[in-house]
Amino acid sequence: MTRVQSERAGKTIKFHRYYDYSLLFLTIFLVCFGLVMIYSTSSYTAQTRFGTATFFLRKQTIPVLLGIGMMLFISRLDYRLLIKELPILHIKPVLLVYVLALVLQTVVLFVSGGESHGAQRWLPVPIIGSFQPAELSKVATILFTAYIAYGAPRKLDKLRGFIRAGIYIGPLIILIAVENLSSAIIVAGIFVAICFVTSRKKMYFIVIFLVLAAAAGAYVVLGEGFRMERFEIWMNVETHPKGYQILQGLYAIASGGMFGAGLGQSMQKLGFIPESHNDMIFTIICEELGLVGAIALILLFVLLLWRIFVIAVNAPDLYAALLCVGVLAQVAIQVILNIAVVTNSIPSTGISLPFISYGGTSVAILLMEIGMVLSVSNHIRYER
Amino acid sequence: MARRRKNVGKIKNFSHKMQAKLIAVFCVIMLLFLALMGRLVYLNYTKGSTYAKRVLAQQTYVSSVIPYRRGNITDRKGTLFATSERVYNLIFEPKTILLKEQYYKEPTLSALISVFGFSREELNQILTDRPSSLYVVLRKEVTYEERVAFQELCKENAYIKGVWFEVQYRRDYPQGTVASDLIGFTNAGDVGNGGLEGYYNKQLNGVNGREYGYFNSDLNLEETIKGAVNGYHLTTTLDADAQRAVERMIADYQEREGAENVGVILMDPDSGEIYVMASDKGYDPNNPRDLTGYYTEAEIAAMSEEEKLDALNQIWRNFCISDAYEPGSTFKPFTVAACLEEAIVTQRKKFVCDGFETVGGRDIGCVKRSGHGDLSLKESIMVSCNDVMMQISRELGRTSFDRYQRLFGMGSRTGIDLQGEGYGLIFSEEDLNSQELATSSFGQSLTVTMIQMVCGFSSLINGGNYYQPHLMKELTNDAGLTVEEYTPVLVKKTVTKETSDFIKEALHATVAEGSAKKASALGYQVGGKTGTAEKFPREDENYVVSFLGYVGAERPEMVIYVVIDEPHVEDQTKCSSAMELASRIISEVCPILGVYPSEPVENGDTGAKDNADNPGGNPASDGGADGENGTEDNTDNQAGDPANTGSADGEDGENGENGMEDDTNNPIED
Repeated sequence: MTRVQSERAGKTIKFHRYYDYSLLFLTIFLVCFGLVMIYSTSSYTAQTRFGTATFFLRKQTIPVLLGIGMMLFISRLDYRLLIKELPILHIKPVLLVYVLALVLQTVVLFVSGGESHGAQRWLPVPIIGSFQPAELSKVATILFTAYIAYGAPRKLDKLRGFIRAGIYIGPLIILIAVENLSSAIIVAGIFVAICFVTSRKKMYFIVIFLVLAAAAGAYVVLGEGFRMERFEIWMNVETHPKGYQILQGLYAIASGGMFGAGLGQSMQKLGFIPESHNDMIFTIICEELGLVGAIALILLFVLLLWRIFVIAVNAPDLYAALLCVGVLAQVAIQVILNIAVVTNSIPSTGISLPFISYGGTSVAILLMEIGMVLSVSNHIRYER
Repeated sequence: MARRRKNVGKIKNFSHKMQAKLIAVFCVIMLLFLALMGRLVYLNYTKGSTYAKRVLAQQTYVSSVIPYRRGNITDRKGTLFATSERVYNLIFEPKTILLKEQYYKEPTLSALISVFGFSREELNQILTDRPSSLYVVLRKEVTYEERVAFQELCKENAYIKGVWFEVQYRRDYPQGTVASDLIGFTNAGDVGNGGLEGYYNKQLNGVNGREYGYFNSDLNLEETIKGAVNGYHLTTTLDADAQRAVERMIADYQEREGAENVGVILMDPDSGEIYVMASDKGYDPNNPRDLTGYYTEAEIAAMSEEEKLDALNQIWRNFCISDAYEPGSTFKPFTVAACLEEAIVTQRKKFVCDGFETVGGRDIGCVKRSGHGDLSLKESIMVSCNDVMMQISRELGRTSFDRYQRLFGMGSRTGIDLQGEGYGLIFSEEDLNSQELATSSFGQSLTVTMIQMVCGFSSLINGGNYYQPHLMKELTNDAGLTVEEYTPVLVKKTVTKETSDFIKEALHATVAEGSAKKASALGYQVGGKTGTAEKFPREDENYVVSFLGYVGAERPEMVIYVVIDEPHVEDQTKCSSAMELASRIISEVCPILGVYPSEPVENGDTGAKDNADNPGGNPASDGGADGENGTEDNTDNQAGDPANTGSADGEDGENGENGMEDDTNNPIED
């Protein structure tokens, strides 16, 4: 703990600089738990496919270590650098990140990095392998939306202001949505969450929410083949031929019982749940650690969100608070959607479980976001 | 917690209103988390047990069958007739490929294309047509090289999935057409069809093994292998070399002269072991449905399914056990033996043949229309006199005749271990009226199978022991241990030693100096009887010519029966082909079977032994035989049915036939 004392003449008021160690350790615990679960879930697949049980574990460890380093480094920086103009370029980093996200999101549509599940979502990058621009877009959205809201918070009181802000962020959402609907939903969710918190009105959000819900419902029911099928699978998961993956996930969740089969004892990971270390990892956690383990994990996420919430409420300024709101929204939306998908509560869509699921870009960028929140926490000053 | 920046004006704050809204957002998030936890609990509560069972159910580890190996069929010396060879089928699993199409499809298809030469289109077609299948046979019986090449590729690339090699056994018949009627063949799935394959199907087949695994209480995979039990090997009494030689001789004969059917049986009279059983129509059990050996392509194409099946049944049919025909004069020893047993006649009794016998108001002629004159019982066999047979059978009476024909095994199956044995048709006691009795006595109007004749005849010459004929010598298991050994089954006693000796002697004389001279073989003691039976309908003038005899004078070592159905010659009644074939078989095949000439071929010391019995016996047949034969035939007319040759006047022959025609028109009501 760095402690800064500011002593003024005649006064002996001590201001301490705060640093949220709870959040730091929660985060580190989550990613370590994630590594354990990735090893448990992927060892069978890795053994059969690559001959080494630790293949996925080793691949994931590098971005995790990198991400933790970046998190610690960023947490010591001043978040306000983001909205200060860079000396030579005369551009604010927040805008730079946003433009970069737009460019990469465009490039990924034309470059086929590694095709997965028929969608182009990865960019080949030398040294680190591949990179998922959607993850960068999420953090860019947090930074940029917070920046817009910070610049003119009162404009968001009106629908017109919200729409104008939407026009700024819209191109990115559309670019993401072309190939990756689930990421687009998350990005839109982050954007709306920040605007909602900033705005003093809530009626128009509720109205928009209802309209969107109705539109989504209509889309699901009347939409074209691809989406319609997802809906069909969701409704008839036990009988639909393509409900295999979700159904196997449900088998895993429900067969876990109260305390689960024990760490490493999952049977569903033995080829029944394809790529169980990815989006379906929560199902294996349920199977191996049972209801107790699964709810404990959810409570860990609740604690994490609670720490971010506390930091947001105590943030030194509006921009810092909105950054925290954005990170909170992202983590919350991803956790909720992921668990909702694997429990077949909503139609399936590919959303990873933050900090736990396999995926280098995702975990590294999430760790950097937590670093940002820690940086905010580091600027909270309190008196003793 | 209180914190407040002083320069509020410049730096915007996170206001209370905003904080309140963030709390609202946080609350919504918490509610959603609660709902998800509820959902988890709900899933566990409602589906827990069923899904847990399904997890276990789909874990029950794909169990695989380990196929058994069907036993071999060998001859008595170990020559393979039928064997099962291990082959590998290429099995493809579209479902496995499609499970991770992006990883597995390309490498797997490429490997299949490069090693086995499939086209990508056909593989893609299978993937689209049968996406959920785990068992598509891509190719049967892949070669060893292909299999190894593919397995090498699999080692290099772990993404080659969903392809495996299924072990199967293919039935092979290394001897081809040899003994095909006896061996039979197998249909898919080791189902024996016909012959020994059919009869011993159960013993030849084993029990499939199984390889399976399950999860024990610690959820560890336990693998269990229950090995396959291979089928028993069948050693037969056959001799492949002898069988092949006989079949070749039949083929030779068919080429030279030809006949509708030809059948040959060689059997050990003292045990019922069949050495050779051959007929003219064989097939390749490796390809049993191939008709091209008998019909042209065009003919086959023109056949309906039913016709095809009929044609196939014809070539699959074993003439020697399935077909019934009228035996003709070869039946006469049975009649004589029955009368001797019942003391109707004595060995020394004299008879007079006047050329015909009036039975039930109808004249039934002898083979020699002018009559044989004075005959002893033995001479009546040697010249094959119908008249004497009719006389003594009338004395015997219908009850006794019926009892004896059944005692000799006529009209019922012998119980040989082959599928498709026929019964033949004899008159029952009630139907055995005087005419039927008369014609039956010389082998017309009743029908028999070859195997019936051979078995009955064996008992006549071996002292009266009727053995069940059989082909199975022993069954051994995979380790070579004998599981079952065939012990000769003495079914019944038919005649006494005295009768047997008399018949043997009479038959020996028949070959030595009687009607069956052409059946003699250099150096061998041969006894036997010819037969020329007119087939039904009589006006077609078709005949079954046959020779039924034995080899070895004192103790017959082998019984031989040659049947030629409708020889393709001008005058079938004069046909001696059966005897000639028998003679050739005896001199060429007996050595193969270990039955050697009882006398040195040199003339010198042979006479001493046999002179008393039959002067100028066997050795005579080679040197001056031709002349002798000719004269004897001429003078005695003894040559039974074919005997008409000698008598030169066509009338005689015709009369003989007519005689048969007369008697058989009435009685034969098949």
